[in-house]
Amino acid sequence: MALRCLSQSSTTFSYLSKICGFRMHGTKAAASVVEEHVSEMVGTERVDEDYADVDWDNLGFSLVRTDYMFATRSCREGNFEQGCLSRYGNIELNPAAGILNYGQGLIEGMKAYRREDGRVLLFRPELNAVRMKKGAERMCMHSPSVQQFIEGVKQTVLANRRWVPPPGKGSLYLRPLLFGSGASLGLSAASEFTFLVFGSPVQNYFKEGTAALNLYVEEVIPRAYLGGSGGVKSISNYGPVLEVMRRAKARGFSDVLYLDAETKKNIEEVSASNIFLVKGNTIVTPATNGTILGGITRKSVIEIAIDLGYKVEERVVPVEELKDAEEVFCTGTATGVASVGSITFQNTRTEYKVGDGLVTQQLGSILVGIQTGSIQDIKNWVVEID
Amino acid sequence: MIKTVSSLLKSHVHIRTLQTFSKYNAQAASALREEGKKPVYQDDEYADMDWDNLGFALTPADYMYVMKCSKDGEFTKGELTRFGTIQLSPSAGVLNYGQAIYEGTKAYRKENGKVLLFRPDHNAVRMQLGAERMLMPSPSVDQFVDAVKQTAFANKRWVPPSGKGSLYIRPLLMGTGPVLGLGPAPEYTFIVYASPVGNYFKEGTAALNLFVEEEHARAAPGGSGGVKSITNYAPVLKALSRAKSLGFSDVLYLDSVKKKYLEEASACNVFLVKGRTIVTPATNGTILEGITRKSVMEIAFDQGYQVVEKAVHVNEIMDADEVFCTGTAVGVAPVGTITYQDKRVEYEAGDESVCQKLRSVLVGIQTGSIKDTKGWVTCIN
Repeated sequence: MALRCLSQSSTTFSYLSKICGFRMHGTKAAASVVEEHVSEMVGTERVDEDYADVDWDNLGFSLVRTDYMFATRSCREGNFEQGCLSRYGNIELNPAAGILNYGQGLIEGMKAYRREDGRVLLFRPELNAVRMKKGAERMCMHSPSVQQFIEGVKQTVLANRRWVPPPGKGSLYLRPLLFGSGASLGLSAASEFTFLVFGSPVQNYFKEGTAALNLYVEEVIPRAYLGGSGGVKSISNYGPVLEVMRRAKARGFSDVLYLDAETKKNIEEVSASNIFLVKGNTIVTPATNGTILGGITRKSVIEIAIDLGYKVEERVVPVEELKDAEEVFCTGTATGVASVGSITFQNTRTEYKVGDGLVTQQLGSILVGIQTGSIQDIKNWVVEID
Repeated sequence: MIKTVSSLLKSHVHIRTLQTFSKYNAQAASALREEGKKPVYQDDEYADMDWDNLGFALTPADYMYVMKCSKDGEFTKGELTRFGTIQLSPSAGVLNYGQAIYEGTKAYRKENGKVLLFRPDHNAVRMQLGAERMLMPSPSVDQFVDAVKQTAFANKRWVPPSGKGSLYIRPLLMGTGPVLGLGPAPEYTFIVYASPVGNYFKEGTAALNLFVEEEHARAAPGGSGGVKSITNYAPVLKALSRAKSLGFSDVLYLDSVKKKYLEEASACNVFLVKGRTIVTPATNGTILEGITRKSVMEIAFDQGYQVVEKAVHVNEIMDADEVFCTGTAVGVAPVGTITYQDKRVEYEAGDESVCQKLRSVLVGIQTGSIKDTKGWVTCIN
């Protein structure tokens, strides 16, 4: 019955609750049915790699509806149920849900990559899991355990395997989402939370494709402030910068580089990526001090750079240093390692070296090589999900 | 619109759930047919509630209002529907990027049973300003006020009897269309739902104990603190729950730059009283400009107090005779103590206080027992 629900249910979360309802009553029947169904699909597709009907050469970064999503809910005590897959579709929320009224939500961003031999890889998923846990603590939310998080992501990827682009054509972007689904009328933390994972095949984040970015330094509107939520991946950090991004994009910029709120003198990060400056053998990035998101791509690139013999500095970076850098690049799961061609601050536009043979390109290709399995993964960063 | 709704209700026509209704042209009056369900609208004057024990938890009133639009479009075809879950894409802008703003207003019961709204046009304008800041289209002032009126009218049996509380009304504007990369949603939904409420704080009408928060700020210059964005609230839950666990009623936030100037509490503005002078932090972009705040300032001015909006240094709490908070949910609430660092300052509170005087005038106007000479009150039935 649960199997039929999975394959035929058109949308709602209510089917999901029915399946999870079985679980809550202690039977493993539903669980095993779901797992069987998923492994049936996986089994079939391994023999004959079956891709979804997508124009793989023209993927951008907008939502493509995939087959399945994963979800689980917490109860009052804070534990999350085992969770299960359902057809991708609308979820039902109480209009008074904590996330809708008070912004109580966290997102994560990860990718699944297709190796040349067809196997699907995840990159350091435990770091996203831990980051979500820390974020949940800051935002007064219950969070799934690291294991539950990774399990949810794996199940989502497996079930949507045909949506992971062929090697070299992009990746399956994964969006784990943790939010207050219980109702709160007065301002308070929700008492019930939902953890959901869905995915979408993507290629380049920016319209520019792989061309170098043009950034604008925003002096009026900060992305975060000390004591705020900038250091965690709270949804509350994003809505308020939409206006700034719109204005910058209207003037032809790719994205915005924000300054610290307190002094407006130091660079922090871009709307959805961290930033690095290169000068000679030294690579510099703003230290994560509570206002900047500690990117996983950022962390990985720092380590790769150190391994290659670069001097890496994590510190306060005054905006004046932008003038002296030879190269500048951004890092993020969605953006990858992206070259910055110019930064405009007040009325001055500084240009940077871009192209092959530079530090940016060197770091970027090693990272991508590890992520897609073409470079040996000696650090155990990569997880095969089959 | 209201006449249409009332005639519908009188003829016991039943309103569909959102899911099935959306399949039909939204002419609110026509196209409504019985679903085969038992009649649920009752002609009782009041819902079956324990009116003496209302707190501030959600008791959803029967009907909510829903209206949608596309990113570049206009809001049209709003309609009432039974209160129930709403359907959202997992990739909705509100869920992934916090793109939403809300409002708070109340419907009050006059002694003679009539239902009154208080300055809903101000909430409408405030929502428009907020929507612009958050890159959202918004309903027009008329559409907003009409939606609030329809919601209040359809739920009038949930408006508590005179003196027992009010019907809290929550308009909410969200980016509901799907987005993957960071950007504005392609579609928006405006809903209004309601719940009968009593006192906001557990303390009831007793004076509040506030804690001055020095670690977490509620807003920063250039941020979204001056509009009622949902993004202003979740980040303060931590400071709020910490204060509550220490026995405080709420948190008083300082400015994020100098950490020396009072801003507001988690969901209300703050006022200091000294002699015949009433002082409140000026709204400079980080503080929400409360409608209750605005109204109380005008009432105080009319009563001959000197009303000053300025930057209020935290040390001024030492000298105040009284302190009070204002908000739609909170009303005009006296503050008994404020704790700042290791100092606890106490204030006068009680029947003869300025706070109580201002409060009774405001409540009198809102509930129709004091003549409304300013055109603040609208009767909806």
